[in-house]
Amino acid sequence: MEAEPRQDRIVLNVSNLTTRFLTPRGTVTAVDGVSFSLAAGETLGIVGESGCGKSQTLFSIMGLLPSNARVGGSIGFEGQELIGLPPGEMNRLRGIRLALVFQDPMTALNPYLTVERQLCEVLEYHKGLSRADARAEALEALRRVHMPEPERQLRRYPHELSGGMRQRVVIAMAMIGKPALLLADEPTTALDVTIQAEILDLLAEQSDSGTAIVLVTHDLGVVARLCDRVAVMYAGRVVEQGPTRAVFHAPRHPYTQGLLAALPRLDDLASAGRKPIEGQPPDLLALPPGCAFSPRCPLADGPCREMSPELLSRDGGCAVACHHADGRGGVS
Amino acid sequence: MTADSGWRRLLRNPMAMAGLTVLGLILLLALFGPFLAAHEIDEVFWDRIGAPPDFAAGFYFGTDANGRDLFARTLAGARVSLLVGTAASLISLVIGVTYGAIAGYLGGRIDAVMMRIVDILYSLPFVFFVILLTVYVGRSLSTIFITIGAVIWLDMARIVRGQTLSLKQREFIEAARAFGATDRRIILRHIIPNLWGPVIISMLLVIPDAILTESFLSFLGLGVQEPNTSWGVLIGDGAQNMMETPWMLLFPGAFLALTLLAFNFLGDGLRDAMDPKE
Amino acid sequence: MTTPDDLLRVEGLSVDFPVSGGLWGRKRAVHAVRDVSFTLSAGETLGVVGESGCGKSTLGRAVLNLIRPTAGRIWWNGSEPAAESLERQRLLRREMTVIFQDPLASLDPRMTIGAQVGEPLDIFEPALPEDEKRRRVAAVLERVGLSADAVGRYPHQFSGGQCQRVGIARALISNPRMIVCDEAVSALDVSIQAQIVALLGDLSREMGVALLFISHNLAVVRQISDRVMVLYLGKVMEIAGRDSLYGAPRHPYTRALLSAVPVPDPDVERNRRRFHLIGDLPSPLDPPKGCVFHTRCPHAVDRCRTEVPDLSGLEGRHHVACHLWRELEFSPSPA
Repeated sequence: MEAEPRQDRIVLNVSNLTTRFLTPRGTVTAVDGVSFSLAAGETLGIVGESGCGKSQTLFSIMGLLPSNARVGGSIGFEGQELIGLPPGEMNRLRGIRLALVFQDPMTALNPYLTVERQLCEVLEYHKGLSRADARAEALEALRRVHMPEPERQLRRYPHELSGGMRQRVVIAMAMIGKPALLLADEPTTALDVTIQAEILDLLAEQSDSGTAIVLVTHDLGVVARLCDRVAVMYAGRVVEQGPTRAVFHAPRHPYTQGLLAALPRLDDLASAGRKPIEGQPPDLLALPPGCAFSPRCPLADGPCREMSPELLSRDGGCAVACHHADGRGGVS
Repeated sequence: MTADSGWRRLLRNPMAMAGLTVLGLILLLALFGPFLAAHEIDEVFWDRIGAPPDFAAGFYFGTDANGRDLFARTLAGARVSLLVGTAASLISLVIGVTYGAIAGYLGGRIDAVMMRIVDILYSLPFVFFVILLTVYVGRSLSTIFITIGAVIWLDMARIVRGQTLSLKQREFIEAARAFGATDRRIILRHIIPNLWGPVIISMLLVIPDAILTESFLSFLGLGVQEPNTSWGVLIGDGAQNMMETPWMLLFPGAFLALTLLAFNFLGDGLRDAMDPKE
Repeated sequence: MTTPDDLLRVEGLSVDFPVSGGLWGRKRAVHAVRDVSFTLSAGETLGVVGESGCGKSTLGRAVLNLIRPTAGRIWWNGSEPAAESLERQRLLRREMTVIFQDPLASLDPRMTIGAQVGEPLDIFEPALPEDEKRRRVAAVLERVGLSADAVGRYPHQFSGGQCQRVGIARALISNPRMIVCDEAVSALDVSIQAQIVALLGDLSREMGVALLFISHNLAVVRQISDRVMVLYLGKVMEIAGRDSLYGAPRHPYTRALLSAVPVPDPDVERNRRRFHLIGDLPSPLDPPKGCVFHTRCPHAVDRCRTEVPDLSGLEGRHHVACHLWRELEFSPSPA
């Protein structure tokens, strides 16, 4: 599971994905040459801080970008190229083969429809089920997300549900078409930790049943809990990518090391001396030449300020974009 | 510091500067009109009733249906219209902003009472109100100021109150309170500076509104009295004969349109200049 | 009784928010904070944790006198502000200041950084000469790690982390004795969050400022606090020294909370024991009878449904509000 994903079950293959936004102040490269592939049942975590491009990567895959966005590269989904796909066909994929869960469940729910109508609409529209069949399937979908009293919840409106229950409904909706790929954008950030734990368990169950998941989050703990592999992003680029265990136990990029050292942890009894990463987050309109992390990096030297490091494969299935990372792990 | 950078931003805005220039020119024309015009506003030329422009004779804009010089009358009208517009915007600025900000900030019962007063003033039949005033005060320019002044600040008060209510919910107002700021300080230093955008826009709506109200009152015979005139009166006269003598509508109409346009450009520029995010 | 080193003493504090029940509905109230008591010594940092709706922010606002409590008493430095004139209460605001969650929203968008940081001086020391005021603003900005040219700039020209530094500078300039940090680092990215937590810790140590550190992030609270108070539905569940609370949590809710936080270590995560809670948070309009936590507690017995548990003291300053803490299996560490 921790090596490269098995080729025969590849669901998603993203290669050299580049997303630019044309803004009045100049062109912003939000996603810069991101590549990864994902097999059925596998969970990839994309982590990074605000503005690093993690959510834009997800929206690029989903084809949900504003009109000033320009996408380059390739997104292969079940053998089909998604970039340049006509909106009609993209719509057919969304909601059936491809599903999305947002941070705020209310953005995915229509406040004027009951839970039953929201769930059944997908089934009636995409699968042509009758009303009664759709209702039975909707009920089953709610049971699968462990919704308490599912019959009663079908009749309720989104505002009558708690945040955690709403997110369950959204996941039920996302999973109702039995998608091959679930894209989740900070699905638990708006929830309390005790509810977050339940939703993470729920996502793990979906993955066990064979759905591939891309999980975008800022929380390294969530990645450790749920993801087989992880990609760490900074200023639009993947700086380190590999099996979660390898990346967390022997991070090779100074940014990954810095993040893990800065994070206060509950399991670390000598928690006093956390080391913050100095400096300010990068401004995408004024990136420094060379490595984008170099102004904050303790190891930065001449080459770092001139040449942007490439993401190179190292041993253990990891890839690191740093001039100072050697082949064997750790930073020389 | 705020004012300095604000002015610099305004000076760099070509549209706003064009608007300011046009308004300045119109103001100069209005002030020095009597010296520029070749004829008096009430001098009747019996041989030139409704005549087209004649530069040689000094009738740059032609004459009106009573044979009076339209150029002189347009400039005289500018004085009245600009005066009404300025007075109205000042009244709505001073009374409307203060009233709305106090009602919105204090809220509760005080707000309820203050806004019911506004509702009552709103619901008074305007024309009836004007007629009453003319009976007691008499027909004059000051009647117009009092009438327009009495109702023109109501819109501003409502807009400002609404904005204040939403500003009050913002965290930086609670922060100011938590750091010991008095109500007075919060209104003056935090609420009012953050109201500039909507206030300037509504001020711009107030000026044409006031100018048009004045022409309506004058048309009813309750406002400016002959031989004095205003753009509203001139446009009203011109509109009646627009097929035969189009210049009688064209010149005062162009002045009014130009003024309103200039106010709009200047207002947009001011609003942008006052927003530090621009 | 108030001991001399208690800077703040809160006793039996309750805050209700009336909710209109519609035209015919009966008057109801959200019980945001219920019967909360604690003390804060000079220079101490007390962490207040809990999930949304537990009343932690309301508690902070009541302590700051921004909302009026329904019941209970608050002593500040040995006297009761509520008994004094409104003007005296306002003057206390130089001694207890606040840092808000959203760094940008808590700054006036149309006021320069210098003017905002200097505002407490304008309010409390209006006689201060202009150049002395400028000097103090520059000094406090430097202390929080901002350059002096920030003075003439506006909040939107700064990143979230820098705005929070401005917020801290504003909270510091009047030399307060206590700062209420209301989710002060929750809106910040991890790398910036660590910078701000480190800064707050340094400031508290150097200047002897007490912090009431309100947060939903248990890991951050652990990093900065001397003592920690756990709230649930407006009530104190457990209050103890930091190491005692995190090392040996006694209340089932604290344990569930701690075990729910994901740890950034895949091996630890795979092998962790979790205490699962049942169901959702009950409505604060109609909190459960007895122990408020009994509807979600995996250990609840009949007594929990009828009888409200008192905060009972263990060894040290560890207090827990649970009927069963003696019987429950002792778990030394949540990890």
